[in-house]
Amino acid sequence: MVTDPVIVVENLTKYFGKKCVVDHVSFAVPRGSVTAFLGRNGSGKSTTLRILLGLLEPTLGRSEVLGHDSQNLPPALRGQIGYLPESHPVIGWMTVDATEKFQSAFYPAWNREVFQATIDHFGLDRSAKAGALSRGQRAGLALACVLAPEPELLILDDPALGLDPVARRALLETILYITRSPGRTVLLSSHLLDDIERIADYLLILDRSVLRAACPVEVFRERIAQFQVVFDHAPPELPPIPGLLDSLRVNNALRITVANPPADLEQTLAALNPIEILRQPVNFQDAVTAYMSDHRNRGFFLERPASPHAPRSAAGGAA
Amino acid sequence: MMMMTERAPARPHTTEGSGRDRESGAAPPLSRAALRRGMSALVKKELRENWAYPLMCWLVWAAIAILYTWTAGEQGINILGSVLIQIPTALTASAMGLWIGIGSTIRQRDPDQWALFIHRPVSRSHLFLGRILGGTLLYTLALGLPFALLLVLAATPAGGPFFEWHMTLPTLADFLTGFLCYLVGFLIGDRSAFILGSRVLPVFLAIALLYADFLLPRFSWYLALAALAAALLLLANWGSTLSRGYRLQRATPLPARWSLRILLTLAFLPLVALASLPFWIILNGHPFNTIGPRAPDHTTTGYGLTPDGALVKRTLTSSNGHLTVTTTDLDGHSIAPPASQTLMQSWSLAPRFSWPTNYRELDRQITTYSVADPSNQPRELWYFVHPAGLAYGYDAKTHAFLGTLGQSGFSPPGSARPTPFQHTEVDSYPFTYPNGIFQVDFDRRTVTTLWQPPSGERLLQIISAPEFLAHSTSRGLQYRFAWQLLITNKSLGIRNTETGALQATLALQDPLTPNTRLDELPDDHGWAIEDTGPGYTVSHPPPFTVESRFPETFARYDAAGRLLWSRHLAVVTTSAGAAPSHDPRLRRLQWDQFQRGLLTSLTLPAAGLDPTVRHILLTSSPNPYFPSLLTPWLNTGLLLGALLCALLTLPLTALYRTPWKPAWILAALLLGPAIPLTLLATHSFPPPRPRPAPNPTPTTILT
Amino acid sequence: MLTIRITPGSPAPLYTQIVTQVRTAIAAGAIQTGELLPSVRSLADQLLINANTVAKAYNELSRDGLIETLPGRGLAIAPRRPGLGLTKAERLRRIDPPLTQLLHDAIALELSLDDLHDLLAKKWKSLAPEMPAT
Repeated sequence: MVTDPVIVVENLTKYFGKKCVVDHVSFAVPRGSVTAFLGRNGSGKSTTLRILLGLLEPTLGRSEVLGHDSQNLPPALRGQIGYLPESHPVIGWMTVDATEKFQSAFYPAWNREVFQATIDHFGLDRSAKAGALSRGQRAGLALACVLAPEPELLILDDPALGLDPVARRALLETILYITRSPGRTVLLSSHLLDDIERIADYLLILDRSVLRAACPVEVFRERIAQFQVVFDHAPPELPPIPGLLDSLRVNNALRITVANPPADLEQTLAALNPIEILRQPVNFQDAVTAYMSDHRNRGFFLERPASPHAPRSAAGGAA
Repeated sequence: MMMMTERAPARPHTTEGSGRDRESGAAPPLSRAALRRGMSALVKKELRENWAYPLMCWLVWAAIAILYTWTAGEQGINILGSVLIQIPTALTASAMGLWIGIGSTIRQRDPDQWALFIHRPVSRSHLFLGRILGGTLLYTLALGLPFALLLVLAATPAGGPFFEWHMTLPTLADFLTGFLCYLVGFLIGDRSAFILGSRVLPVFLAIALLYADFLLPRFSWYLALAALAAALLLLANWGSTLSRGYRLQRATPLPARWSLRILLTLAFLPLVALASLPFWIILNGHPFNTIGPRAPDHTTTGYGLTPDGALVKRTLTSSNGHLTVTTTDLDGHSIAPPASQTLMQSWSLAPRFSWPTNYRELDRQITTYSVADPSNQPRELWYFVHPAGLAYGYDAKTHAFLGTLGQSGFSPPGSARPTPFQHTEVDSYPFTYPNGIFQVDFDRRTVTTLWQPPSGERLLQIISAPEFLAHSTSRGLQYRFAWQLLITNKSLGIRNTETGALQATLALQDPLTPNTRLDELPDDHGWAIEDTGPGYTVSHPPPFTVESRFPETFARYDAAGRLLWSRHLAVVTTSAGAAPSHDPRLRRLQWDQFQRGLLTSLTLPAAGLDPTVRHILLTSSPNPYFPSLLTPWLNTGLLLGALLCALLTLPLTALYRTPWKPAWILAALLLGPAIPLTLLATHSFPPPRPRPAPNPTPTTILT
Repeated sequence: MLTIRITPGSPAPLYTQIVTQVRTAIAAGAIQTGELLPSVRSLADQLLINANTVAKAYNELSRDGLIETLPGRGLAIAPRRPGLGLTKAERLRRIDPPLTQLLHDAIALELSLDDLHDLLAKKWKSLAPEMPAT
């Protein structure tokens, strides 16, 4: 439970025509956190963020940002929210300098030093035309425009998209710079799990328009468990295990990944008479990937399992 | 919120802290100075972003100017009256307006670009205002400059010998049209809808406005229309910026929402009309072939005045492309030549088109009279400006101003202007006004009153047989007429122009004074027309038998010779010899039509007035020029169509939970498919039907 | 001077990696009692990770009594306490996972228990010469 949320979302639902893009999503983002918003492409992250900013209207449900309804954000409050859209938009014909002049006209508290620092960080020339910048430089300019007003809440929609490693590093440093001042919150969506592991302390996972996780990163890691169950014969069929994410059979061993491992899981496994049950640590990337992938539909390149709960054989494994 | 009851048990979520206003939420709104800074930055950005449009426009106008000076050798009254100028002004203004509107907004089509634009500490209304200000400024730059140059040119002698300020009105109207087109373009570019669906639809509004710009006869009418259109368009655009046009789902202010709906319905109407044309043709045959005078075989009857003042009847029969003209006396007896050949004046009894002269048509608003010198070269040019009731004289060579002529006579430059001719003129040939007939001699610069109606009467119509048909004069401008048929609101008369006296008069009862016994009058006015040889008998059901002396004034017959319709003004007597009573409502209607010129035909007996004539009855069969297009088949088709549209609208209003359902249904009955189409265009289709919340799976990690 | 390196994407969470490295360094004598640790922010900047993560690692270390806060100076390595102030059972529990991993690998590499014993003794001497080997 988040006691001091900057964003509260309740039952947020969005349909585009008949397609449900966000399905009854509820979460809260804690103040001062770096919250990672994960999910596969098309899972509804960008739509959720746009609804949060009042750029889109939800079909159902409501969302609140900094204590105000998203659909009715007072203009002054918008100044407190920095938003970097997915494509890092800039006004193409403006130079970097003109961009700053234009943007700063709207923000009395525009911090020139932050702007300068950011564009320096991304190696930008003030006289360069925004439309002619490389992807990474453009991201830098867009980011500088978002950071210079020193927003209280920063919403970044896949900021690392299309960035080279150097630009990504610059981005990471910039985001960390923001988190130095207490009370400032970052909500960012990304696919780069290594970077997320470095900077995020709160996690939201949206899987095919449904919210699957909203928790601190450590909680998430603790709740994903992986067991190596070794038999002296071919592994038997698994009994139904609630929260089973994945099971992989390698020769006589069975590796299962479970979310929210039930208390009696070890007993259930022990009832299968294995030689050994081993709990293995899972790295963050694997945990998220296992979590987001559908164990039922995966394995097109692999042999089809007989039943949904039947262990899946690795390609090289014995049938 | 109707789904609230269906949703899954609430998530373990409390929203502590969400309700109270945080210190961030209490951030002060931008100060006035800061807001002004933002707005000016916005306007500057719009200008800088779209500077190419004005430039393009200036280039186009430079090309037009070159083309004009190259092609137009001889100038008319003023260049502003030239079609070569009027059409380019209207077209460039509307095209440029549309282009600027679309071009300046389409950039924000990408949702991220739009987010960049909209996500700043300024309200959307202010952003809209900034954008509209910028666009208007751009448009004014693009067209205001060439138009201002044009007007300056027109006001100098280089623009033509004569300039009146109202000549600038067409250009101003075009400028306004362009601005409206800019707003239309803004709506197209800004509103989020299917690009090939209702998004491009407002283009029809632009086309309609361009038509209105050209066709509306009075500038004030167009001004009113433009004000209304601008208000609707501004509101709709404002709503579009507020909601991003998300099919009105967001709480768009009600006026904006309704403006958009009205505009879309209006834009759908021409589309629907175009689509229904095939059905119209199937159900009704060719829509235009029933118009009387163009029918392949037809007969029209007109009247003529012989030099000795006798009225004759002329029947024109068109059959297989051959036209036969028969001249008879009013009783249908043939008249031997030469009397039939030396007709002084004949007039067709077609209804006069009552639409006012368009203010754009300078040559119809302004009549040019030239006074020739002995070598027959124009010495003076006199421009009679009809709306002003004054004629202005200019030297033909030096373009020097000579003076003004009005009803009270001539006044030289520098002195007070003469009294202008009063009211709307009845005829310009001679100077006929409701208060009299005047003779204007431009050579001598005199004005003579030829005839004035008795006090309390207004001249409504004059039919003249001018003398110069018999012997024309080449010197000066003198009008003398052998005969003039004068119609006032109370009497008819034939005036002999030689003597100036009225030869015959007939008092008309004031048709607006009720003098009838309503109880004796049948409700319908179903006159029966019967072919009785040389004339026709117009009869009325008993107890009145009405005999018409000259019933057929303009008629159409079918191939078998049967009268299909007729339009006539008949001098009637009653068989009973008593004064007939008429339905005052009918007479009011007919008198109204007569006054508006829709019912203009008049006949008079040849020699004096029949003492038995007591009344003049104005009657009309259905309008011969525009016969009813509503055949039974078409009526049925229209009715079925209207019902179908209402039936289509019913489920849509239910689907979208539209308030005021009966109003929508009624509108669909009246306006047809435009209404369901508007409903579809302003809502998303199919409407979202949210399913209940999914049950959390065991693999969900929530804290 | 202590050098901490982290590896995102490894099974151990980032804060555990920091904790383990500081612990190892202390155990190996790479840093001495009283030596100052980098501040939370500077370590976070250096490692390019969330400062909260560093703070969490430091919290754990100070909870275990390995580091202490020197007012006005920052965090420093705390004087050593016998058994880290932990019970023997707890200490044995903590050694269990790496031990299991070691045995797994040893079995997979077909090493005998004696081989392992020799190896352990040798390694022990080189890493912690002052601690008794038995």
